[in-house]
Amino acid sequence: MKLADILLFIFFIRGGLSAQVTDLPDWFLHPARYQGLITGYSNNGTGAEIDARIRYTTYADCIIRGCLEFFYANEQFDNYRNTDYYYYYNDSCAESLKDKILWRDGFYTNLIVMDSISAFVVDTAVHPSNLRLKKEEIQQPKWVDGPSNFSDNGLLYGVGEFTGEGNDNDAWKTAEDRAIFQILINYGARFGQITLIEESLNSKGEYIKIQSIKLAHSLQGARIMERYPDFTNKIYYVLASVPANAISKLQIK
Amino acid sequence: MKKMIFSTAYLMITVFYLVGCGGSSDTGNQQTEKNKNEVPVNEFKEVTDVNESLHTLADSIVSAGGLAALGEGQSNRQDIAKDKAKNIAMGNIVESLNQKISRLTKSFIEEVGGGANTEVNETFSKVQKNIAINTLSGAVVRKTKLSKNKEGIFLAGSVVEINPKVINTSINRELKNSNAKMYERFRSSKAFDELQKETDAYDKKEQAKPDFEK
Repeated sequence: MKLADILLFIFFIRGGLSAQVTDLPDWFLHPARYQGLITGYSNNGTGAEIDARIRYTTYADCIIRGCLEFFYANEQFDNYRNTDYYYYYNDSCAESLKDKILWRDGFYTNLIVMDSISAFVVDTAVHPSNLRLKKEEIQQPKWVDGPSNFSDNGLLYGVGEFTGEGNDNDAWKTAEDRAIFQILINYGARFGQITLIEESLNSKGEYIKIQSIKLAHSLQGARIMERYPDFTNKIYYVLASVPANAISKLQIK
Repeated sequence: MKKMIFSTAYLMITVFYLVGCGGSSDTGNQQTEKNKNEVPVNEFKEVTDVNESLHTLADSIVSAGGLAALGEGQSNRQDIAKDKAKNIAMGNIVESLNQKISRLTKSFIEEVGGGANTEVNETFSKVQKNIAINTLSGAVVRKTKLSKNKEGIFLAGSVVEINPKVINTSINRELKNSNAKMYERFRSSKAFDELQKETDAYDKKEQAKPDFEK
């Protein structure tokens, strides 16, 4: 068998297997309905359990510090994004969950690289329901078309989105991160912007815009409330929340 | 005889010029007919602004005493276009905020008088610097609109809003912390009254809105 045939076979299998994700569990789409449940994503051979432990610890209590920078040049379609902020969490706490964390349910997002998303619980008797929603049954929530950040009943909400064109797990994780980032922006961040315009006889006035958003926050009790996959446009949306009284600004270095 | 020759020459020159200035009536008519059939090059036609509703929204917020800005972003990826639009809107709102502080400084200087200029400027520039840290406190992405052209390029528009109450409270707090004496003078100034009126007017308009618009 030629190499091309092998590759074709792999792509054929891959296409077939990807198409198998025709439904998603309710605990994944509506995690807020399952108190104490935490979602973990596997990544490049690292198990979903490790990710779940880190997420559990981080969302319970963490410090987010760093900077996000954007570079735009004229009407160039794709900008440069430099993400340079980090979540600082209690590593020993995440490590101590090793014996307490329990797997409840899960599903594969890609069988070729064995990527999966799983539901875990820590020290609770929570059992997510087996309810699974088919693609066509998943309704678009109102918050998808609403503001990117808002507050309601003492909670700050943020909506994050990312393209689902590539790796599913990466897309969901990035959307989660962006949802929390929207909450932080609403709460307060140092924003800087420089625009350089260069005009000459040979150019129409080219510009470069550089923006930086500096963050330094401590937050507790972050939660992922809902997830929504827009299969038509291949965009994944995540709604996150943080209690308004559990977030504070730290001094920006 | 000499006089007659000069007169004839003068008459001929005058007639020649008069005929020349008159031009050809036929040519003029032809041009008018031609113009009727052609659209003049410099005539402007109305171009549809896909984000017109967002402009209207931002304008209505500003006219109600709020602070709002519109940003637009293009990309062949939907999420990037939206991200870009939001960030550009935020950059624009920061610029508006800086202008607001400059106006406030000017109005206060005019009221206090020339002698205190340096101190006022220093205090306000300090406030502005501190505000820049909190600039985006309470910045809400009010609305985002997405359009797509035939080539599959997305154009996103976002309106970012900051409640003037949040800004004005920050200005007062920062000013108080930077220069308590100056803050006392500021409190009894017209600039402070304007700031208060602005906040009250915005509050009233917000309260009058139906719940779904808040």
